Amino acid sequence: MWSLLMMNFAFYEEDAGYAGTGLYTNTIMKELRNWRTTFIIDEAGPLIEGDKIMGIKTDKHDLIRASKYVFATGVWASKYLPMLNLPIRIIIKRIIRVRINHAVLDVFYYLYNYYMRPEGVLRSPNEDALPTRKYMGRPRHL
Amino acid sequence: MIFYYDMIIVGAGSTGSTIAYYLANEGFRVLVIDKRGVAGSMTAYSTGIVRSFYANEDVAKMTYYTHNFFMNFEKESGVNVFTKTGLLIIGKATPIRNVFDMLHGIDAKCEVTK
Repeated sequence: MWSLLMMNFAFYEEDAGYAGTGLYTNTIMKELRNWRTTFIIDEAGPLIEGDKIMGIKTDKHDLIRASKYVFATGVWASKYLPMLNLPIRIIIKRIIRVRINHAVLDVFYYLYNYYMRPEGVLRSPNEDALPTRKYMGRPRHL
Repeated sequence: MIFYYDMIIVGAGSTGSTIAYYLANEGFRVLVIDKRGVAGSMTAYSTGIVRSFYANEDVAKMTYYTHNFFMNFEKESGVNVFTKTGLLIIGKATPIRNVFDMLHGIDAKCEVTK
């Protein structure tokens, strides 16, 4: 109770909000079609000789080479980093297993242990920990 | 057969596509490659929360830039991907005031009240 009484200050950021990440990424990739950018769907793995990346091996498109390589693999970095032999360690702080119903696209805000949908549905893996009502709106298909 | 590009980006999520966007803008010939397609993995499950309220100054500067990027994205692309909701944080005076002072220093639009 005392800790709640200490919460006596408010910060407000008027312009904050949320971005539709799937829509954003698809918009960017669609735009890139007009430029000198190619997109392929394929398995990609680095071909390494010594300490240099010599190219990207793929399943369907043979070997592809470039002047520079960027690995923007997000959570799959744990798969690529050992191959690249870089002095970067991935430290797993917490593993959360979530059952996802693919009929409804959920998003997950791990910081506070919530599933969160910007449209208004809020759920928590640990329902008891949820300080507010379970559902704040109706889910909709995206 | 071997193909050549200026840049190869592995990963067509929000990060990979944004890097490709900036590189292509600079005139580089870019290839993006992803096993699962565009936004086929964790990007689709991201909350996409856009705010400047971060306690670390380096992170706050990055997110402030990102924030403006999303606010102006529709002007550039014709597609609105950003929904403004506002953000309210309630907490103890000192840490909030510290973050506010730091954000004020980087021109982030925010306010505090008792």
